[in-house]
Order: sequence, then C-alpha cells, then structure tokens
Amino acid sequence: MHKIFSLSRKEQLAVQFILIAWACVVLIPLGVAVINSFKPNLGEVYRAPLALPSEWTWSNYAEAWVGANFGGYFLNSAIVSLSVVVIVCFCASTTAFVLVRMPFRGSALLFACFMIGVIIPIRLALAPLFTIVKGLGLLDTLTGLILVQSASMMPVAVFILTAFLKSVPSELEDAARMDGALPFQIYWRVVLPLIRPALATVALLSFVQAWNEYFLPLIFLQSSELYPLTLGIAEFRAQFSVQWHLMFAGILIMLAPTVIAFLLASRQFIEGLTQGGVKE
Amino acid sequence: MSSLDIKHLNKSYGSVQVLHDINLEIPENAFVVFVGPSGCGKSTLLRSIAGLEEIDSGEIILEGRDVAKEAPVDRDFAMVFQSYALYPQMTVRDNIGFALSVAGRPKAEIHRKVDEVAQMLRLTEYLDRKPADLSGGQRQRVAIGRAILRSPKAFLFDEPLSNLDAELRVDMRLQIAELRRQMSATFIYVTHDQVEAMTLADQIVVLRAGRIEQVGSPMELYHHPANSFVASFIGSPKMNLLSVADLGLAGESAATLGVRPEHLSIGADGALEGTIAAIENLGPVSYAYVDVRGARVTVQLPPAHGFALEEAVKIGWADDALHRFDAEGRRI
Repeated sequence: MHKIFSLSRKEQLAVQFILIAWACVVLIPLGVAVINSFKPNLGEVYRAPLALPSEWTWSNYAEAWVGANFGGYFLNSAIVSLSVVVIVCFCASTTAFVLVRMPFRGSALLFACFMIGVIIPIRLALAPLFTIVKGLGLLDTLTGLILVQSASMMPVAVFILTAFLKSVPSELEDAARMDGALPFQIYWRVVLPLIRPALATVALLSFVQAWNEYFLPLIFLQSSELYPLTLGIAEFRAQFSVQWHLMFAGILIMLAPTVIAFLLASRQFIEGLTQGGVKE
Repeated sequence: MSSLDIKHLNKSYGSVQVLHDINLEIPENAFVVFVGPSGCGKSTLLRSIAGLEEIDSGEIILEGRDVAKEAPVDRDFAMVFQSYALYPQMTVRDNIGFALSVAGRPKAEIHRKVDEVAQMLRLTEYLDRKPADLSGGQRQRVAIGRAILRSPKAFLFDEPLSNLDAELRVDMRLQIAELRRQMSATFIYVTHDQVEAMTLADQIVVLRAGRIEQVGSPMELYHHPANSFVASFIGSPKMNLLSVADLGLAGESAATLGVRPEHLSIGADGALEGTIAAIENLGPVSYAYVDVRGARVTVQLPPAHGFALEEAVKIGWADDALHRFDAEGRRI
C-alpha cells in the first residue's frame, strides 16, 4: 500500500503510546470484571480488586445464571435480538432494493423520511409510539418490543444498504432480467449475495443495539418474566447490590453474545463499512 | 418477412430525446452492427430492443409480433454485456445455467445443456470456477455461453470486446464470427470499433445523435457513404474531407471533397502542395500526414517510400476516387 505520509521513529513511538494507552483505558475495566468474576468470595474482591483470584471458580456464573433467573432473561434477549436481526435485514434490504433499483414517484421522499429517522432519536416519538403499541394490544409482549426495536433500526439499515447497493453494477440485474428472473428472484438470487458484507454490518449493528437496549424494554414491558438481560441485570443489581463477584459474572454473561457476534462478523463488518467507497 | 422490424421508435431520458424516429429492418439471421461515436444512442437502441429500456413510442416487431411492451425474457433475445455481467457469487456452471434454473427446468437437463455449451466454447475445465478466477476472454466466453444456452431468436452484443486487450479482441472477434456460422440466429452488435463492424457485419447501421445516418453493407458504406459523417466514420485512417473553398479548388461544384488515403498519391503533377508533418510506418503500409494550407491530409504510401519529414510534396488523385458532398454534408 502506498504511504501518503511517513512517521519518524519518535512520532511512531508517540502514536503507539497513545494507542496502547487508549487500549488500556478500554480493556482495564473489562479485565477487572473478568478477574473478579472468577473470585470465590466478595472479600477477595474488596481486599485486592486488581489481583488474580486465589482460586479460579465458575460458581459465580452458575449462581448468577440460576439464582437470578438469567436463563430466562437471556432467552428473552436472544428472542428479541435475533428477531430484530431477521426483520431488519429482510425489510431493510428489500426496501433498499426497491429504492435504488425500482425508483417510483415519491421514492425520494420515502428515502428522506428514513434519513430523518437516522437523525431524530426514536425516544422523541415515544408517546405516540406507546399509544400505537397499546392500541395494537402489543404492550407488554415481546412481539411489540421486537417491532418497535426493528423500526428503530430501519433508518440506519436502509441508509447503509442503499449506499452499498448503489455500488453494485446494475448490469447484473439487467442480465438476470434477460435470463427471465422475476424481481424477487433478482433480489434473492443475485442482489442479496452481493450485498452480504453490508448485510452483515446491518445484522451486527441490529443485534448489538437490540441486545443492549435498556430504554425501550423498560417502557414497553411490564412483566418481569418477559424482561431481557438489560432489565434483568437491573433486578439483579437490586437483589445482589454488594455481591460484586456475582455482578461481574452477570455482566460478562450479558457481554458474551455481542463479543461472539462481532468476532463472527468482523471481517464482513469491516468490508461493509469500507466497500463502495472506491471503485475497483 | 424480416426477422426484426423497428418502426418509429422514440426514446427520451426526461426532456432529452436520445433516439429519434428509428426505422430499421433487420433480415432474418443477419449480423447487424450498430456503430457511431459515444453518446449516439447505439447502446440505448440495443437496450430498447432487449426490453431493458422502456421506449416512448414505436414498434419492435419480431416475426410479425410487436414485442415493444413485453418483458425482456418474453422477447426471446439473449444479451452479452460489455462488463460480462457474470454473477460473481456463482460458479461458471451456475452462471451459464442460470436462465434454465430460473425457468425451473430439471437439474439433469440444465447439467447436460451447460456441458454442451461449455464444450462448444472450450470452458469445460473452468465449470467449477468463479468468474473472479477467470481471465477477461474466458469471462466473455462464459457470458456468451449464458446467451447461447437459451437458444434465442437474436443475440444482442453490447460492446462485448471493449474490455479486452488488442490480441484477445482479435481472437474473440474470430470466435464470434465462428459462433455466428454455427448458430441460426440474428446477431445485433454494438461497437464503436469500426474494424469490428467492417469484419463482422452483413449490415452496418451508422448512428449519430440518436438518428440513423446510413444502413448498408460494409463495402457499400465504405465506397458510397451517404454523407460526410459516414465517410469520415467508416474507414481507418478516416477519409480526408477537403474544403473546396479553403483549398481554392477551381471549377468544383461541391462544398467538400472526400478522398480516402489509399486513393491519394504523391507525385510531380499533384494538385495540392504541402509539407509532410508526420510519417507512420506500419510495416505493410505507411501513412504520410501532409499539411496543406492549414488542413491535415492523410496519404497512404508504399512500405518502401523514401519520403522524409518536412519534405515539400504534391498530392494528386484520380477523379473517380472523389466523393462529393454539399454544404450540409450530403452526398452529391
């Protein structure tokens, strides 16, 4: 790769120091959580919070999982997050396909509406949203929460996918039309595999957003058996307010799926963010 | 009855009309080439015939049936694109067999037909590869294979060789000519390369600014261009167009005289005096570029010519080699 500028050795050291310092800022709290989540009792956490455990134990994880109903919260989070991913990926990709490839009267206005959705946070529309969800009889249901969270992710997803789709040559779709493919076949068999990196980006963002969402479940759910992990962990905090070793285990259980999702999709994620910026 | 009949075809993009009242009869099994400069509407005309562009008005009659409103697949045409337009996520086999797969044909039939086409195009060993693993020429052969598989009534080629290097282009040109001999179908071919047009076509359609300038066989266009635009577009190097007024040619009724480089000669009794500004020695033939009163005249020379740069020469021609055009560029 051609270097547009080169750093002197001192400058390189300075840059590396800043990057390492920033990595420490990010990783130290996580490391502290990991270390303390394996400590056998609270005393060790208080005595030496930065020291390694005298005895490594998984019991905190088991206790958090069983004792605080983490299994139920985890399942609810998984249902909500995976449903949001599926709905957003399907709806946003079909929407982007139509907006980019089949423009119609008003499609520019529709796209502008999605862009307004990117700018304006969904929380500003909470009162009408609450009324709509209540009117539909979906208050205090996972379905209602899934639909609201999916809608909140749609603008960003449509924005990413339309930008990516514009970089896919339209001759491929012309070729598919000549071959007799119907619009849905073109979308499904030709376009969808080509926008996979962008789709992975959207899936990852949707999953992380849905998994970590605290505010929307708080508003739209009332029954504790429907709570996702974010609300569950708040309950957990109230129940085990001073049990830091259990708290850390709970936080790490919650964190694990997003880390795994990012690791699985990271290559496609980066491609999705960068592809289309330059013409190959 | 002609295989394909285009009547009063008009096409606009917004307020800009790009095709103006196109009327064209394409005989059955003919090889027709659309040529013209960039932006003349040749690709738009091809895409309109294919059904990829919606036309404003006019008819596209295929064997007595107006297909202008029909979907691309129902017109029974197959198209080869400039960029190959191969599906990058599919193997060569899946690319070639895509049309039959979409049509829901049995897998065994698709497999057999793809094998036949691959054998014909010498692609058998590449069937399991992805397009990214193929060379430009191989990719174009896959694109042609995809078109062949459908056994269409007409093949539409949109500048299929323009992405290939010069050597491969000659090779592919010969392959397309061979394909034409094997297939019983009409070929409509768009190019801006007039060598491709001259070597492949039964009939050339010259377009300019969305209008047909002339339709005819390559030799007809070469020897009897309908106007100065066609005269200058067909032939390489292009025909010399000499302004009678600028050159002060007495007793000449035409506004412009056209004469091909091979019909000019340098000798003692030439009518025009000039200086050689450049010489190109191509091997079997050489060209001298002579400055004559502000105009640049191309003269074909024998390989062993002996002329030098800056040499003052006289250029002459046989009167029957002249093409005469009026002030509007029309042939007289």
